Amino acid sequence: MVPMWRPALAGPMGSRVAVLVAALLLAGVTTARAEQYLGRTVADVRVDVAGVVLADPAVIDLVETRIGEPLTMINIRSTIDHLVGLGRFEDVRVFASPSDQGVIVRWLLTPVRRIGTVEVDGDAQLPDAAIRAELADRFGAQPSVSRVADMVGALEAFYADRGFRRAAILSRLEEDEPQPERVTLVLTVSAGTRVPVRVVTVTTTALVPEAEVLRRLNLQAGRPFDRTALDTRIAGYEEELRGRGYYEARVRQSHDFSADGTGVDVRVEVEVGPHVRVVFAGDPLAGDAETLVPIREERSVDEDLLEDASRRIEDALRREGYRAAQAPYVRRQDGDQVVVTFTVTRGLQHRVGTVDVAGLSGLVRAELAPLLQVRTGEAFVEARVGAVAAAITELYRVRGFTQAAVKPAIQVLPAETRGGASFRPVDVRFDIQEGPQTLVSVVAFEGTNAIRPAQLAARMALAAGRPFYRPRLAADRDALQRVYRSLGYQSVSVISQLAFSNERSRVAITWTVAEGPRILVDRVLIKGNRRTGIDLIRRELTIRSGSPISDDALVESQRQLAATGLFRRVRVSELPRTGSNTRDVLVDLEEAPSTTVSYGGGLEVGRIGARDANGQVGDALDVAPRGFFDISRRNLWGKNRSVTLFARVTLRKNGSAGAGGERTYGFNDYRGLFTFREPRAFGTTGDAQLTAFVEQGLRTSFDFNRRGVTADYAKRFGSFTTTARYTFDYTKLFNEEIAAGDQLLIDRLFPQVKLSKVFASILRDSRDDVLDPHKGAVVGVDASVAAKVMGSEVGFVKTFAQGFIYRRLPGRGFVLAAGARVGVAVGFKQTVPPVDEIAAVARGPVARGTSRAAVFPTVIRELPASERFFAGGDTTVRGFALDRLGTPETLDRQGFPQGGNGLAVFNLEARAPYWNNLQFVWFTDAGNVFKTASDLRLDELRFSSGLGFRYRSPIGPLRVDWGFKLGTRLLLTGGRERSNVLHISLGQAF
Amino acid sequence: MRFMLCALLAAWLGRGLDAQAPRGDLIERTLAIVGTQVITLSDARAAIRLGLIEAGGEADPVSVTQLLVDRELVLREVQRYAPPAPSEGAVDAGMEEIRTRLPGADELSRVLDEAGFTESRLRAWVRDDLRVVAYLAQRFASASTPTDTEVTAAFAQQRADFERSGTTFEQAAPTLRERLVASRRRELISDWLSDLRRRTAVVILPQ
Repeated sequence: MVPMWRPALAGPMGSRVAVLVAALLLAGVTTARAEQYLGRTVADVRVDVAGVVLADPAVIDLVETRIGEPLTMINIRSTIDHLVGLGRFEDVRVFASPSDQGVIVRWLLTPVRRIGTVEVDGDAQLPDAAIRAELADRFGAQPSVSRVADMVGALEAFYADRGFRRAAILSRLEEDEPQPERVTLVLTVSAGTRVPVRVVTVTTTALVPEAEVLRRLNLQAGRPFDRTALDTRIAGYEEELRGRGYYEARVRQSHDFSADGTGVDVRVEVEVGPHVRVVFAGDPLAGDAETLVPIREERSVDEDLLEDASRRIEDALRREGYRAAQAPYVRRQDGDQVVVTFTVTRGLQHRVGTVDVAGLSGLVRAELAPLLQVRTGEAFVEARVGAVAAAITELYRVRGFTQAAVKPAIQVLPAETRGGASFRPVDVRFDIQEGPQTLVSVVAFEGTNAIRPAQLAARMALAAGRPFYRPRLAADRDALQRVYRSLGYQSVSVISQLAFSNERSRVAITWTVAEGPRILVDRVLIKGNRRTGIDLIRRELTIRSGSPISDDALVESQRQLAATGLFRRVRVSELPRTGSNTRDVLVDLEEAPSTTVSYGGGLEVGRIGARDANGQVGDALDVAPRGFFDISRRNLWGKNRSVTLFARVTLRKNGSAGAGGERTYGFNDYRGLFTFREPRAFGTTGDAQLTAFVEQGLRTSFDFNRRGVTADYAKRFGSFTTTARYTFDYTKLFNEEIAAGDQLLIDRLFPQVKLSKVFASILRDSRDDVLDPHKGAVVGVDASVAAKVMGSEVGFVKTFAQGFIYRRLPGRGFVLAAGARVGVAVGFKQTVPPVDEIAAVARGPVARGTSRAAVFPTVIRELPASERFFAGGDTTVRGFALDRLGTPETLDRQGFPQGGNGLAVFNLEARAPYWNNLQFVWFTDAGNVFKTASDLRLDELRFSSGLGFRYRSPIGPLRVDWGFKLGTRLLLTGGRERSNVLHISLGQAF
Repeated sequence: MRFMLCALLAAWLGRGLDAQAPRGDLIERTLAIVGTQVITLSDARAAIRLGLIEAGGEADPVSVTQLLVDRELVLREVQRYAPPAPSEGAVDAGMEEIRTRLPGADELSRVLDEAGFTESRLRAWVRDDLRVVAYLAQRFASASTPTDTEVTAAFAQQRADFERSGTTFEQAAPTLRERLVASRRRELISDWLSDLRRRTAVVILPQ
């Protein structure tokens, strides 16, 4: 082993410096026997790193020589294990000196140094990138400085391979990296001259002339020698020769450097082999010829390969029912060529006639049915019949028939002709010899001290009374070992003994366990956390000091740490410690960047309700480009808290200002969020979130602007997620499409409304994929309450229940998805003053209607528009444009939706399997919006059905749905509803 | 000569510096790291005093470092194959052998205290040694048997010695055969160790 600093100190001056440095270092240091200090009380402890007193609690905590305690070598030794295991220090020295109070202990730590950057200077000749790639490939991305000598040696070999036989490489380390443990390795290369080719000798045949070989291999006397490049060219040339039909072509090179190293003699030997031509005669093949006869790929035409090819051709035909297929080959020399002829004779196709089972008594035929994958009329394939027999045998074995045997009996019948094709029917019978069934009589355990036998027995698949199945014995042994290993018994060994009785109808199983020592965690060493707090990391770990070491615990700890999203890399591993029953566990982390920025854009296309030239509501095509920007700062104060600023803007035409009003493009649809998130808030396992938001959106009947704050707390209970939320927001409606006189009173009274509400929900989500589920379900219910006592201008209670289920149908992979959503809301009674008074106080745009309720004090029980239910659109009932669904009571005279206090939506969708990333769906939706909760009636549901397709894109399924109303209705203003609506969106509808 | 004087002067100055910031006596340090396993000064001292390694008479902690590194490399390889644990009787015999090598009855516990060893760790050391011996015997037992030609050549090389002692070829052949097998085994083990050194990150710290 060469010390890493040797090159930098090489030469006579270097050795003098080394002596001086050593003299200075060793001055005043004596190596003493420790016994004079052992047992004395520790009066002071100091930890120095590179001459600086260390205050890092993560390191200080590992030092076990504590003030006031007696000094023991065990503590010192243990501390060294911790410090080195941490991976930050490699040279640890312990000094002791006497004091009046006892002994002063001083720890001197030398950090591990790794090579962060490799720089190449001098006359390198080869590209720097190639040198770095070679070193990274052989020594990793950040090798220890102790590998410098090896790296120089490897680089010298790298140069030699490329013809630089006398490359001189000097190394030095420079500590100019921002981190003290990272250094830069500077390699000063003097490549020297590349050894030229002196003589080239080619041995070849007339088929491949020497001049061609020299040209293709770029070999010529006097040119620089590069073995690596020559090998690459040889491989390419061999491939070319095989392409020309010389399947056994071999090109080899050898070389000798001259004694003085100034030249190299290269010898090239070309074995062209015969030119091979493959001919197929007789019947057509069942498959690709190159695959069945892979002589080009295997670069050979030897007898073994040809025999295999013959067998492969026959097998391929037999898989199509040609049971007697033959494909012998003949190899003959034809001048300079070898011609290999395969003569294929398929014979008559065999088809399955009858299928029968004999000797069945321990099982019923229905149990065998799924295994009998041989059906009358299909091509008879002997291998498939054998596989069925093996499957039936295995089923018997699972049921305890350890000696069961199933033999297929085949009877080939005379040829028949059907539909113009001749074939031979084959009757198949599976003859079963069951033998005795073996049941487990008793399961016993020996050598178990740490775990009670009853606990172990509960985990055994082979329990008393169950059928004996030998593979389950191996599974039980693994289960036993897993149980012990999870408790820290890492060297546990388990063997089983079987005692058969009653003519093998009963078996007693005895498990003998050698538990071995229990291995416990000594210290949990944490490395690589620059910003993340130790407490946060420990909280995610399932292992603690003193807990048993198990693979499960290590993996689970690793998983939980990775799930925080704070780390780019997490590795939790046990550090081996010879001759001890405790181990340190190293948590090696690489933190992810704390600031992330993302942005993107897209195009939204769909139909939305809009006023037409006659002032009535119609469906207009809406094309809206949108963009978003998101910046997050994670792991604030090292506690995994985060803040996020999100902004989305959509360029969209605004709602009209009334009949004949112009709709103009602008940033009319936007949303901005500022979120503070704290996982595991208030010392619990729940997550808290505080959000301030501002948004503006366009709906069919109005536009709105809303701003507010929400505070969330969410917690998981098994598969359920519960959420509690408080929201305070201020919503303003504008660009109302509904004439003032037709507006609901509450909308006229509260065109701007302040709401203070609480919300609670519970949700269970077992979908296998959130964007494109194939199985699982989502079930949830939520409720929200707003009240004047909480500062709300309007009071109401609202609840919404939803359920979606996804099932993969048996067979070809169709997915059936179904959903139901029901919402009801009730406004609290509220007596409002006459509209005139409100207008006088607010001086706002309170509309005067014709209703008496607007003029005189009255009681209202309605919800503001922002809280009412709307339906219709690409995620609800797809035969309707956005918000356009509703009973007549919820639509104004022009057909603009006003929303309601009751909602019901039902969906059913059949999704075909993806074909070339394309999926076709059929759907039927039903639903409606009702004025009040008590108006909810199933016979008033509106139905629509349609077709669609999904394109599986990298960001999720791109969706196109075309929904058709099942029955259009006359509008109040005359004319009929539009019969269909096209939706383009992202993700499944539900 | 002038340079040596400078070095001595530097050492003397160093003593002055040290007087201002005394380090004290070096009582423990890392000598080498094999993978993540540390070999310390006290390990080396204990190995010498307890006769746990064949280090020769003039052994000092620094010179035995390479032996301890090799032992650790072999042990890591042996543990990968989890050979059966030796019997407790064999371990007891190994412990007894260590005790008999020490001058007094209390010497063992004194050495263990000074080295930061416990008796269970020493037993584990003995157990591991037995594992290594069994592993090497099993893995390298098949060192090829020398041919008659090779034995004849070996006899010819040492003919003078054998003739002096009046030993005939027939008498010397079994011994020569054993020596050739042992020599080949040593070569195989040496090559294997070199490979282990290449495969494992070993840091031997400058002394």
